Amino acid sequence: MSRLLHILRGRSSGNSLSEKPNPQDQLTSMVGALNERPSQLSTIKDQLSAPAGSFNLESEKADSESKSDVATLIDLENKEVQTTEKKKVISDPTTLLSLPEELLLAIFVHLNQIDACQIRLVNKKLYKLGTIKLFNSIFVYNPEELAIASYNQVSKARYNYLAFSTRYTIINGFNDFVRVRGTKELSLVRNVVICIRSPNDHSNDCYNYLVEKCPWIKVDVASWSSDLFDKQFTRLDNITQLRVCKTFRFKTDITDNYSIKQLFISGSKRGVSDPVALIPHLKALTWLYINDAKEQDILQVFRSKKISKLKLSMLGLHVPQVPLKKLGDVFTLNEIFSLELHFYNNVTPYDDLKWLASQMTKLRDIHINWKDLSFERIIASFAGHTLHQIRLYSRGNEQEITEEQIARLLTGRERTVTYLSLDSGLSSLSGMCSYYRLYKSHTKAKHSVQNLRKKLPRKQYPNLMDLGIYHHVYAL
Amino acid sequence: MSTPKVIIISSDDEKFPVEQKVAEKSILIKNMINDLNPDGLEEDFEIPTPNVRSNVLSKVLEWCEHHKNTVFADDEDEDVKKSLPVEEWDKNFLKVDQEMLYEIILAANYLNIKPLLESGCKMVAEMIKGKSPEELRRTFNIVSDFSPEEEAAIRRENEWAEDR
Repeated sequence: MSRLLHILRGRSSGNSLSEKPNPQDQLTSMVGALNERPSQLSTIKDQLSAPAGSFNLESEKADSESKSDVATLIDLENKEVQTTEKKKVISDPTTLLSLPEELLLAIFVHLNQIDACQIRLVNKKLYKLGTIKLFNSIFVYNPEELAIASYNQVSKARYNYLAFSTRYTIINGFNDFVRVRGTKELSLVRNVVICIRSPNDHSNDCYNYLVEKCPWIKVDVASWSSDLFDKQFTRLDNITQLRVCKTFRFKTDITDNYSIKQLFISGSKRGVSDPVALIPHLKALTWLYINDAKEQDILQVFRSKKISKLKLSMLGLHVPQVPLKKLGDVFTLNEIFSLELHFYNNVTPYDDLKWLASQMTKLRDIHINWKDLSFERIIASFAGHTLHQIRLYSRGNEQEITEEQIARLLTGRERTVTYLSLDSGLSSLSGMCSYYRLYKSHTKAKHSVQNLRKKLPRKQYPNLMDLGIYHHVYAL
Repeated sequence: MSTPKVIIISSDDEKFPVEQKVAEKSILIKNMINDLNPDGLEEDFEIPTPNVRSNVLSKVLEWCEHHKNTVFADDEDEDVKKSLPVEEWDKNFLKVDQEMLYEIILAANYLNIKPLLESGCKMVAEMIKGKSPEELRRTFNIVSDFSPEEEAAIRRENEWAEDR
């Protein structure tokens, strides 16, 4: 029994008010909570000295106020006796601020950067932790170039809690980067995604600066430019996303890789190197996005590489079209939870989609962009699925969307849906254009969302955090 | 002889006998049972949890009981797991006062019950989302320790992050 007690006490550091973790442990666990590779600790510690210093001041003050209590406590602790007085101290009300910092950071990972900014303004302790959250992972991009597939969720919008927005702090354009360049907080950065189509002096500076000054960070290059494109191939073991453009020449006989989780293939021209050849080497791959306007039979490319039953959690195909019933030959359908289908051709294979949905039992997020798509028929195909994120974009003739229709689309999913985005008919045929609109129209959309929110009460749709209805939808 | 129970003892010495399956929702307890009983449990097994009070422990065990047959996937993408809303039952279960919520989080962390910890953290995050600093101070009963100058300086620091 005493051995057990010993083990249990051993695990208690930081949890109990009766123990004061030493600052080094605290810092280690704090950084560890947001980052699995806590190298460069000393640097961070130095850099953090300003906010950490103020934090110490605060706790010293608190200490002096309750000095007698603390003294009693330490005394009792040393003698290892349990008295009612000790219990009294332990039963002081637990508040948010009394949680250990690692747990506060575990809470903050669910917040977006706007929240992190508000947290910083609450008090000194939360300033420090909000800052760690804000700088842990950054996404540097140029808003003029937002039209990059799969980054359509990029937005600093206040109520945007999609995985991307809670994961990354968005640094809009390189003008913003100039504002954080050289600040000590950059030492807190662990992950960076740089997303640039046309590199310029700013982007090169940004890349070089981050790689040189913060050698421990992961830099994922999200760029189709040959310059940055080559750079990502020099760091394959240190990146989590690989973006491959078919127009460039690159070597496909890479060694087996265990860090890359996401692969984006883009390019409409028949390239010199076939990016699909990389896939068998990417052992940790869970996301695959292919954007190719010219590839008439993408599945044949996979079959020719003898790739079958590939296990992915996210599959995105932005292609002329694909025989949906053949997808099972290449991908393990019941592993996929997020499906994105953009077809350039004028096809609307609802029956095949229904079949596909019946195979993809784990599916939670759908993103479908077809010509003259019928919201109702798509949703009917997923009748049995507990959907969380729904994006339906229709090109071609504009349709009317009514509140009743939205309520109908969400029937049975009121409690699970987190994101709903409907676009009722962009005149442009380009998917990229729709992303651009999404960004540009955000302010306007927010206004109508606030109105719509009243019609979709929180009580009935408790998890619906993001709502975007584009093109003229209502007169609300 | 009936199946041996695991008896979890709270910091205030209350005993909670539970099925082994329920107790093993806590990875800490699970490992301890396995380490100290390599051949499986043959008799009732007592485990003290000196950090967890009886009112909190009973709540945590209620969660373990409810989820005793739930299989929690741990192979999922972290980002995905993070963006999922709190499961309905957990949400209602965690509709408790703030102090109890934090105590449950601390206990789940200490006992190493990841899905409960995750739900608890998400519930607190929900309370933070979309609030202004003033609203946050009111909600969590925090007094600002910034001077007006310091606060203004942070607002300037925040600008780039909030700018569209």
